[in-house]
Amino acid sequence: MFSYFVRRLFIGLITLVLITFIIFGLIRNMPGTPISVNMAMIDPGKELNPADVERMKKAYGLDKPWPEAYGLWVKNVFQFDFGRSISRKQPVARLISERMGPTLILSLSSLLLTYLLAIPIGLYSSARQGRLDERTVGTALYMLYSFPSFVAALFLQIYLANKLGWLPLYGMKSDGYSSMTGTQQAWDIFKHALMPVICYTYGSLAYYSRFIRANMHEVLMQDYIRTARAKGLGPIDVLVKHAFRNTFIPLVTLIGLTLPSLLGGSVIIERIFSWPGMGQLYFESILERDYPTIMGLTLMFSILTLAGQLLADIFYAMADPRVKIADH
Amino acid sequence: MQEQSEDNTNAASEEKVVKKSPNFWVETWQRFKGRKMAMLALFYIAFLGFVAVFAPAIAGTKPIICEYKGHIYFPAMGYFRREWENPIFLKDRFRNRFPESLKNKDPNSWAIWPLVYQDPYRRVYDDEWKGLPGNPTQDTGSPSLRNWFGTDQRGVDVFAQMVHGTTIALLVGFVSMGIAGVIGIVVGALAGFYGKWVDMVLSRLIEVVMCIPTLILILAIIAILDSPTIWHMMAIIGCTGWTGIARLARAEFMKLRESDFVLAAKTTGVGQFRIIFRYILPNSLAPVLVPITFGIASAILIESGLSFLGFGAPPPNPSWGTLLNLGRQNLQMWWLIFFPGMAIFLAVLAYNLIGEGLQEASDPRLRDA
Repeated sequence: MFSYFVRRLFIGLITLVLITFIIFGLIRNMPGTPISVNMAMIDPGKELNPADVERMKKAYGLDKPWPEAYGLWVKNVFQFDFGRSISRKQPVARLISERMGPTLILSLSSLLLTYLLAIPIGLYSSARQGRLDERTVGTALYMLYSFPSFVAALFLQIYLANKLGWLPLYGMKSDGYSSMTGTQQAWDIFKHALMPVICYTYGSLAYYSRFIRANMHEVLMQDYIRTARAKGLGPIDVLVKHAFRNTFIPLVTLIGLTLPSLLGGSVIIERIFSWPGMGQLYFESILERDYPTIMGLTLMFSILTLAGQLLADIFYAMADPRVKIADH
Repeated sequence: MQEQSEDNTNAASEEKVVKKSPNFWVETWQRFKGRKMAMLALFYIAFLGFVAVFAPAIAGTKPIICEYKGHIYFPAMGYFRREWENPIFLKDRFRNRFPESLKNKDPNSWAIWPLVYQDPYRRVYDDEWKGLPGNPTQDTGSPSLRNWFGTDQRGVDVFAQMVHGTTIALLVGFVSMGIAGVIGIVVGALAGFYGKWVDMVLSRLIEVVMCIPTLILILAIIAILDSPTIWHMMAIIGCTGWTGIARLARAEFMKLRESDFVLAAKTTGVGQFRIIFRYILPNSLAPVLVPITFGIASAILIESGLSFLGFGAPPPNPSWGTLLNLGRQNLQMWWLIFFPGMAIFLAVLAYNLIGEGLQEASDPRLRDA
């Protein structure tokens, strides 16, 4: 187990270096530098004098060829220094941690909601397999699964915000947020978060409940279910205690794979709702050619993706005694 | 159903003494046909293909066929490529006003017009078509008898834009997943067939590509290119979207390389190249088609999402995502969101249904279910 873990970590490290190297090369070859883009945004007429440009380039390491600059970046990352954002004049680590909160509000509540709803729906549909109501629910879920989230976001905005006026159109906080009491603040964020959370949730809800149903279907055909029924156990006991508990393994692996999306946020949804999260930051930093921020985010996403895969494998081995991780 | 098809095969085998056992493809198709929703979805995609091919004949302002000064022309072909419209119309200063110009410049001319006289690129003006009022502009163009799906802020008909945008939606799916399919199958085949260090290296490659966010790659490459076109986008979506296909192909090849028919081929001295492409590949193609179909659905989503963010096909090209983006700027114009939104949804749904149908048809475990 231990040597397997070390081997996976080593391979993961190589993969990480490759990814960051490719992305670094790509963004450094995009036309426009953070300085030129920044200047054009502030005032197109105002030109920085060449000496200042040189000085800034030197300060941010833009004067070196990109492979050299990449080496420098790696060296700094090993000392846990992720650099300073060029366009925002802030350390990248702080910038990312500021944006993490809003994204987590959306993703965690959506994940919780998904599990709370998907498990009962999945159990319900496997209990009523093949009946009319199950087929209706199944079809509806399938439609939802295929419904693009950005289209749903626009529909919600038109209906809930524009027509009925129940919810704010976008943003995370109202104007008078700082003068509100604690409960008012929570309520304010709740109202703003509702539409994005719905957009995040409905697709994965459909996916998870179909996933649970499919796994239940497989388990319900096993011999021990027949034994449990023959013993005279009630249908709910059989379904929940005997069948559902045995579908935990694939569910657990799925959690590992959702890890990157938990912190990654969605660029499109966050942009539609002007939500100040990671997805927005990513998009803005690409437009601003803010190299250190892009690299910091890329590093984070890649680590999360790789860690998620590793976690899924380890969970799998822990949850299922039949799976043994071989040492070799 | 089941019995009937069995009878048919029995009858067939009586006629021929030696009958080839049905290959994997035929079998998969037989089972796929039995799934109503999947077949319906397949018909819908065929319908979209029809719309895409005949878009200029469905909505346009150029005649499909016309006789002008004694010659027959097909001006509507200009919608596919600018150059396919005969230069005579440019020389004679038609200025894209065909009905009026044809009549004025040659009274003996005749023409067959598209079903709907609306243009996907420009606003139709007053009296361009006898008695037809011009399109409403700004946010007043709600759906009407003239403009079935309304008009956008510039007064361009939404129905015409959607009909012509079908081409992009379909092409994006097919071209990008065609590229992804080729890369994915080759990488997966090599990794699965050879194993050992080849598998090790290729698996790392798959992991690296999986971790690179598609969005950053597309934005970076669009920024690097001087004039990005829809084709570049398809290529990028294809070059990043092959990992799922490769992993499945790898698993299939790993499984099949141990099978008896491969061993038989090896013992009779068939070359490795031939074993990979003529023996294993045809047998693993049906399961590999599953991620490809799902991939088409997600390619359509990526394209419309990018157009929606404003990074799609360059502006004059009509695309469903671009329409959504226009609608987002003015939420009062619900028709700019509803119709393209539903079009994207239906296309994605159809591909997902086909993918699921294929999955169940090609999975031997579900065969008897």
